[in-house]
Amino acid sequence: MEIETMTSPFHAHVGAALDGLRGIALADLEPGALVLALRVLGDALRLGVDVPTPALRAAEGLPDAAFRAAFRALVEETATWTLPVEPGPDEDDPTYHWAIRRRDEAESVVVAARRILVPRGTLLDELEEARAFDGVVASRDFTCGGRRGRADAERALRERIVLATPGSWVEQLSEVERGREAAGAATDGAAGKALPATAPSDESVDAYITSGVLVVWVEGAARRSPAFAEELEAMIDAGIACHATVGLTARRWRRARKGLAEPARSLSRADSGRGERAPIRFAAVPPVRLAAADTDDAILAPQRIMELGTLYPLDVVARLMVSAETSTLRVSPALGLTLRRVQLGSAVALAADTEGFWRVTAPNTGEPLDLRVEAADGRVFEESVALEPVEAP
Amino acid sequence: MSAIRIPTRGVALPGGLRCAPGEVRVAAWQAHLLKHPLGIAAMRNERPWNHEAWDVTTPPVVTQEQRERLSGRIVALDPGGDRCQVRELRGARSLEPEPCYRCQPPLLHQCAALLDEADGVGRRYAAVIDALLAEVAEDRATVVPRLDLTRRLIGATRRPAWIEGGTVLAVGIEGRHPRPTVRVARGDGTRADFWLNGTDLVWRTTYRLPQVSVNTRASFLMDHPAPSPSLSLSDVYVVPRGWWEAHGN
Repeated sequence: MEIETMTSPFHAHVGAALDGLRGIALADLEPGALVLALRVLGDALRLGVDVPTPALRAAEGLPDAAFRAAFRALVEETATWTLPVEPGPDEDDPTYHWAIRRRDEAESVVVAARRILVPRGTLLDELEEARAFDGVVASRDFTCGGRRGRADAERALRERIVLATPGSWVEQLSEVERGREAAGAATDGAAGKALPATAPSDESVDAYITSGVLVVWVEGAARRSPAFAEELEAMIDAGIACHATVGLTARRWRRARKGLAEPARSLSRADSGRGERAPIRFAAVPPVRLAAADTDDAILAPQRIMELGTLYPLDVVARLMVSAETSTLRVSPALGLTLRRVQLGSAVALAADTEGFWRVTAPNTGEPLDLRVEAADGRVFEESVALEPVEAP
Repeated sequence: MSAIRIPTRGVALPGGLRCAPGEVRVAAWQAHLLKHPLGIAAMRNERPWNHEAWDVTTPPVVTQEQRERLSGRIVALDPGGDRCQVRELRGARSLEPEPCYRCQPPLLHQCAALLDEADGVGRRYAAVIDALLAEVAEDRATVVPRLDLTRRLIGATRRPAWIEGGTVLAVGIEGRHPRPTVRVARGDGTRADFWLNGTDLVWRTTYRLPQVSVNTRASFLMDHPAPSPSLSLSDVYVVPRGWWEAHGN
């Protein structure tokens, strides 16, 4: 009688991959190759396969710096992951399959790194590069605007599906309702097609409001559900009222919601329609002196920092630093994105500074300032911002 | 021109598979040219037009300058007041994902004349498909067990050039409604998918996925359709013999 073993083609694949690692000096690998080796180890650990002692010892001998470099390589790679925007219900997009596969392979790198680092007293969160990777992954919408769910991800994983055990990252994806169940709840205005309905989590909504990420998902959910749109509007209103961080993307959506203009979704300067919109208002300009005029110990007002978040659809993060006299726009492009020009008011930057930031400083005139970011590929983000005095306490 | 023939030359593959020149409707061909080399698929997903990097192939399938010229010409076509509905060429978003499939002659044929005949983007895109198939043609290829390729690719982490130079043909089932599929992938991120009807390959699509490291390239070469025991070659890979033998060098 044959003994039944818990194996799959993927078990055999992992076994062969571990064989392939034999004799390789992990410490000598460049970061991209080290990611590959860590992925193999992580696959084995997730699968519950015994990792050969020499491979484990070699990984344990790696310095923290090697893990930092590996996570840097992973962060760089995420710039190539493409998640479809508003895919149709039956659309089979190879970029989605590839992004899901890469995301899952990255999970194995995380598992391997944790296995090596924790016993030596280093938490993964202590590595800036690992935190950066976490941040990038959290900002990516693997539901493709609520149109792809757990079942889609599991199908995209193919043989790797055996790694989607309880607690895996895939399990955190919601199920997407398709067909009859969704038809009554959701339609796409442009195409008139039924859309799956997946409500964004509180964390996703918070990330959208503060950082301008997960735009397609959150704004899509707001289009489909008036109740959710009302809730979102109330949350943004509350954030602005109490001077919490509310990014430019959420403010633009709020402006459109309140009927002042359509939300900005265009990719080109030709369609920006900026001139037809009311400017986005920020209570940002501090008084020259904070203390009352009748005291002698007045101090200079500090600069106020307004986090604008991601300037959707460009993958750049922006902040405004506002003093009584001037405003400085600082733009940080994602890896792999080349900018051509950044403008605030009449001030223009044509290159990044030595730190990799694009900075422009314009005087505060009381008039709205044009904010414009141009990517080398021709895409443009354009908005008008009005910087108003901070209300007296 | 009512149809294109892809591949342009018939190819015999190991295991009795063959890929004869098959008719591809002009609308489908135009849709693929716009979606991939001209970058419409990338733009719809909020990526730069050259995210698939057809401008860095050797030779480039399309350059930035050619793309700009072609976009302008296609947008300017106006036979009988019929205009191109691929709004991404004008910097907007199309109302439907692939308007080319609903495009009517003569606009369709004028567009084909620009893309395929005048500028040669179509010819160069077709040449990429021919080249991928030629790499794994019966007279140049060898059949290897899947696990052997896994071992070699992982073992070649310090030989990025060898991995990048690889081409792998895999047979399996693929799709939301699974069908027998053949995938030919090259280490530079180029991939051609074919439907498999019996022993005949029928071209489905060709696209590129950006590759940035040894890690992603090795993964790309092993990203195959799900194996199916009922399909010939489903448990093996077909690879160029010269490449396979160069592993030990």
